[in-house]
Amino acid sequence: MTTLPDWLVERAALDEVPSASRARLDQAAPGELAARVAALREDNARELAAYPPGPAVAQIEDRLRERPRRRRRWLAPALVAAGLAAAAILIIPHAPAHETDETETTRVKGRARLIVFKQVGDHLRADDAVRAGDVIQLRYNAGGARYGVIASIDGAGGVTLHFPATPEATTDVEAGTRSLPEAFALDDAPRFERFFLVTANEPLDVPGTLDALRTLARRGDAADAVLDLPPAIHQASFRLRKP
Amino acid sequence: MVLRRCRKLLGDDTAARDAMHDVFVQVLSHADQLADQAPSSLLFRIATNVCLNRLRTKRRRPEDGGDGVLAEIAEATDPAARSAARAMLDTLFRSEPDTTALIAVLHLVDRMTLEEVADEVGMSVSGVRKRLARLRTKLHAMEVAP
Repeated sequence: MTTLPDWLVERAALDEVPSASRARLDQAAPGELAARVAALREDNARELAAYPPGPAVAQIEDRLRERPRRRRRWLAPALVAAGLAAAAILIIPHAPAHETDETETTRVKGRARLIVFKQVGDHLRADDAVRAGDVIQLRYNAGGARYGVIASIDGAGGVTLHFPATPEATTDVEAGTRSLPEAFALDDAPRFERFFLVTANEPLDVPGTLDALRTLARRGDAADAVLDLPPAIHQASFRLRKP
Repeated sequence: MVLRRCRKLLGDDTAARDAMHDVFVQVLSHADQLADQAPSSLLFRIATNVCLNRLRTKRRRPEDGGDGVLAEIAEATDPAARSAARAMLDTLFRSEPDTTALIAVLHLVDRMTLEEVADEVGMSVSGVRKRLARLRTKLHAMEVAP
């Protein structure tokens, strides 16, 4: 029988139980709290898999822009993590100088669209610290190239393909800034996660690109070295630290 | 957490997702005034207020989730006349201060103790008790009125 109210289980899951409520946890049926916290985490994972946070963040940004202007700052990472449980990074190849500004926007057919989230907690910057379990949402802009591959390597020598979904799928990319359809949680690989956006104007060889990534991932300088690809293929990378 | 809270109060997934966006808009709009401690409490409170405002300003259809919240409060305040109490709460919540509605939901729906409610809304326990007593008195007065 359930004895703990939902709100208390939510706070216990975040280790934010008010002191006035601690006694209620002690009085709960044995195992209830652990089971319900586990169920919440499963629900979170299902939700994030079904609804990546990128579109929700974009909606929130739109509504913020529609409100009367007032001084804004972004939330501490803990606050965002408690709600959306996700961060976003952006990889932009061939980015003109003005597009690296914090407040950048890009124009697509005359309509301004925000493509960079501001400050730490929402938009991760190169070499920001992350840890196992952090949920990452990737957005990209192929910078006019017609084909692209997004993959990552980590400090354990692992290689993960993020786009396309499978090595056999087409590498066509859409114009403008796009979110990948799924967010993902970082594993416990040590030292770093390094994301690559590989672009070209000809269809890309995904298995060949993955081979090049595997070769790089095994090297001692994998966190810094350039991916060994033909000169006609452009590459941009984005590294996150895992202290 | 925010989405689950909005779902519980609004009873509708689409409305809950829309409300969730509003919650974060509110949080971000006032971020320079907020402390970062216990963000779950802050998000929970803002989500509750956003949903209550929606219930207050929107003319609900019978199948909407807001009736579920009102029904829970009505049952807690007047189990013998649940249906009538629900209708009266609907009217009452449109005229009562936001804090009273929040207090009622926290205590009567979320089963927070008076101390927990006081902690949550930043009032004294006696202040919370008075608000709840006033709500019950008004409900009773509406019930006996011709």
